[in-house]
Amino acid sequence: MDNPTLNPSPPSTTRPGFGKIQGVGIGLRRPHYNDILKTERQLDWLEIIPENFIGYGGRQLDMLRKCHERWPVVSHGVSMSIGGPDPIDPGFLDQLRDLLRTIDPPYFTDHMCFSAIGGVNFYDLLPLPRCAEAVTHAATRARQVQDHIERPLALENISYYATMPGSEMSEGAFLTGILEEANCGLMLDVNNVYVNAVNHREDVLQSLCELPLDRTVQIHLAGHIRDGEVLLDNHGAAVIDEVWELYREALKRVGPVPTLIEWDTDIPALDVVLDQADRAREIMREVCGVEAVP
Amino acid sequence: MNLNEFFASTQKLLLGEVDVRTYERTLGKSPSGRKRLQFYRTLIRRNMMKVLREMFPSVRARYLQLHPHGWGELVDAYTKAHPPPAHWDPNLFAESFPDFLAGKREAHGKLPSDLEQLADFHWTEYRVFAAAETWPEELGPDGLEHRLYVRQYDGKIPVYARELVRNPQAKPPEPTPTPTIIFRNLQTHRLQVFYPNLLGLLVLTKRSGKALPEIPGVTAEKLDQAEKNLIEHGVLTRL
Repeated sequence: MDNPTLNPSPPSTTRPGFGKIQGVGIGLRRPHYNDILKTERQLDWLEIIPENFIGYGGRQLDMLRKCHERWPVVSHGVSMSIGGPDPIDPGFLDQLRDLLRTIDPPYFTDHMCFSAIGGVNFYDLLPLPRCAEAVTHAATRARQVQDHIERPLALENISYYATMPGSEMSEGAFLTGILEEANCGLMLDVNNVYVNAVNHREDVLQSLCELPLDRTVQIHLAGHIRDGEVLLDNHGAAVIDEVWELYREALKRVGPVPTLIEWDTDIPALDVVLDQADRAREIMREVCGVEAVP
Repeated sequence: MNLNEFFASTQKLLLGEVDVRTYERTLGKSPSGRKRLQFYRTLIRRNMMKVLREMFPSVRARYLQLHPHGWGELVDAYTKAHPPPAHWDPNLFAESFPDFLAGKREAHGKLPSDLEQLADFHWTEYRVFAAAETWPEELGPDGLEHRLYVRQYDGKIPVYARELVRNPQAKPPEPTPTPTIIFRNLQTHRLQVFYPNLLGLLVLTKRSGKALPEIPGVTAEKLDQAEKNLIEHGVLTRL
């Protein structure tokens, strides 16, 4: 997998501080509610999907409170539609800001995509045409969100199954343009890099290195499945060896960035997800030469 | 092509209102090919199916008893009539489904009413699960807490809903008027169902601020006892 023409760049010193978010976390998911508060295994932090907590009471609120007492919590949104045409819901931004004030993560993350058009939601992370107009459009909205939520925003490189008509630049150039114009961080999804490279017959390591890695604030690792002729990023399986290998390459370039195991479909027992987290922690230790969490 | 044109055409493609060839004629081709653009239409339809399947598992099972291959068509018709709102909570896509089923029954007379009652039960369960802790500042639609809903079903619909998930061929209960409280337990936060008797219903009426009818044999002591019972079951909050 090594490409001798691509030299690792040293970890950036300009990205937002990770603070209390160090090492390897997992997503807080309902099937684990009964077990997670009882676990004695190493778990460095948790990530929530804020849409599953905003406005909720009862068990959702109770679990968030209890988990936050024990672990640092970050928030990863799925509905901001940062590249979309509809105005960003100010009511949602207010409630998101309030939630973030409660859990106080060092940054907030969402996806570089759109998910709704004209008031209709598609419940998917959809790619924009990679053009200059889309860069300006998305960057303007990203700045708006960042100002509102009172903390740095990082955007994730999504899995895309088609390059949309009107695209004029590579994914790396597109993301770099948006993140630089908006001064945002990168939520580096290593599985998405792999899935995209395979689906679009590109070199995996080159695809990774074309992303604005110096802006990486967090890494996502997940599994995928084959769906006909494409790899589908469904977060429904263990991380495959090729993605673990790519994770090593990413760590060489970005340093010991906090890493999350995402598992959202066919969610297995908590211990299975924690096994994946242990493996990520071990790789971080090997590559970066640091104990992730003291 | 500008972004506005892109979004307008892409919305039509994703909703299945135009085919990929028409889309390509408007916006140009994708370097990934026609099949990949079409794959997005497939993904979006799957997403709609997933939201309704997960929200209404027993409705799907019951509908498939009646129309063994009809669920996809039903979801398509519902999506067309009630496109998913651009709200952060995807479950809101399900909100109009009970009324949609009731409308179909009234219009065509071919669907049994237990179908819309099953849908109402699942939707109510979700509302109870999600309800914010706003009581007593803000009351729910029944004049009670948001975590507590009272329904009149034809039989023990919650029991039937669970049975259908285990056994998709389960038959509906005999239609008997059955007052049903769907609530989130105050202590455990678990979703529960309670079938109140007359005294229990009177207590709920009183709690919602409505005047109680005069009923022979119903005394203040009996109402107090009924209220205590509902509090012990985690249905009502102690005042």
